Amino acid sequence: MVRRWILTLIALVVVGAVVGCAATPVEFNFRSDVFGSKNRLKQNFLRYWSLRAKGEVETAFALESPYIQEMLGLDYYKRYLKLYKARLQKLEVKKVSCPEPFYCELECRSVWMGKKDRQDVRWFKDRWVKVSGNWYHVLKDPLFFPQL
Amino acid sequence: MLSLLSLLGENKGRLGYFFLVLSFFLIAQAEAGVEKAKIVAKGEGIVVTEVDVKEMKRYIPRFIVPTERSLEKMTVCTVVMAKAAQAEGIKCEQAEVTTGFEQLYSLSRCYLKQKLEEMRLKKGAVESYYLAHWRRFLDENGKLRPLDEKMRQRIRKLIVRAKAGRFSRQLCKQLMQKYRVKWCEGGS
Repeated sequence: MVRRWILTLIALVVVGAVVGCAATPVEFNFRSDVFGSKNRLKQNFLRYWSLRAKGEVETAFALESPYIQEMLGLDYYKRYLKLYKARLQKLEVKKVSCPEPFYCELECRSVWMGKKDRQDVRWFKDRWVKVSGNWYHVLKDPLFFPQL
Repeated sequence: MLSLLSLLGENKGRLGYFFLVLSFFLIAQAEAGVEKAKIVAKGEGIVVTEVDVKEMKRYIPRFIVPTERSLEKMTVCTVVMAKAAQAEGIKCEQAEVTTGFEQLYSLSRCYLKQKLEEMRLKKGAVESYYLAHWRRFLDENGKLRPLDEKMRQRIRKLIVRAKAGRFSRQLCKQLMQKYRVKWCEGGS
């Protein structure tokens, strides 16, 4: 009886830890006017990075540009994202510039939590393209995907 | 030669017996040779042997050193695609002037080429590439070149090229199922 209770308790702790880790939301931070009138871009940006942080790869993949979906394929995309061992904790949008109405570049500062609670700060440019009225993420990683 | 003929005349019976034994021996050797070519995979109307795998090596660039397993897979894919090309009556000029495994290889290339040309891309794939890489498509005056048919084909080719390897593997898998190809003992 005692053994069963202990096992249940351990199982609950493990499940709680797993769910807790996976469900930790990303902390977004940006000025209210940084996206300007581009509300749909903002929505997709928030959705995309939340999905990436939650590890919902398949749904995030659907937000990648159609040509990226074609060129990479879901399996390769999954393998690529598995390389990210750190967890996205914070994402700040410092600047949004749209040189064309269909193309925007977001200057981002991200904070990643690695092993042993080691924090890693990375600056990157997040690119988005508007196709048939929808905003899609443009994955760029010249090291892994020079063809993109 | 003359001496052999004269010998044949003198000892017809003995020599006839000798040649009969010799021919049996040669046939047995030939059969043993056939048996030696181990079968790697088998399917409906498909037999892939070690000889085919060796032939396949000729078509792989020298700087690539595939494992035995991947070489076998490539050979089987070549053979199933060649079979599918024949079944679908795909025209292939190169295959008409070649024989043996070379012909199979040519047929498989023609088959893959045709399937890649026929491949449908996701809606918006070409357009999204064009828009995401708009800087590459600016003219001398800094204006965006229009996405005309020529440009569409150019971008389509880029996408198809990137997808070709994955597409070819999927195609091979489907054809292996279609022709019920099974790996033989020791094969992959």
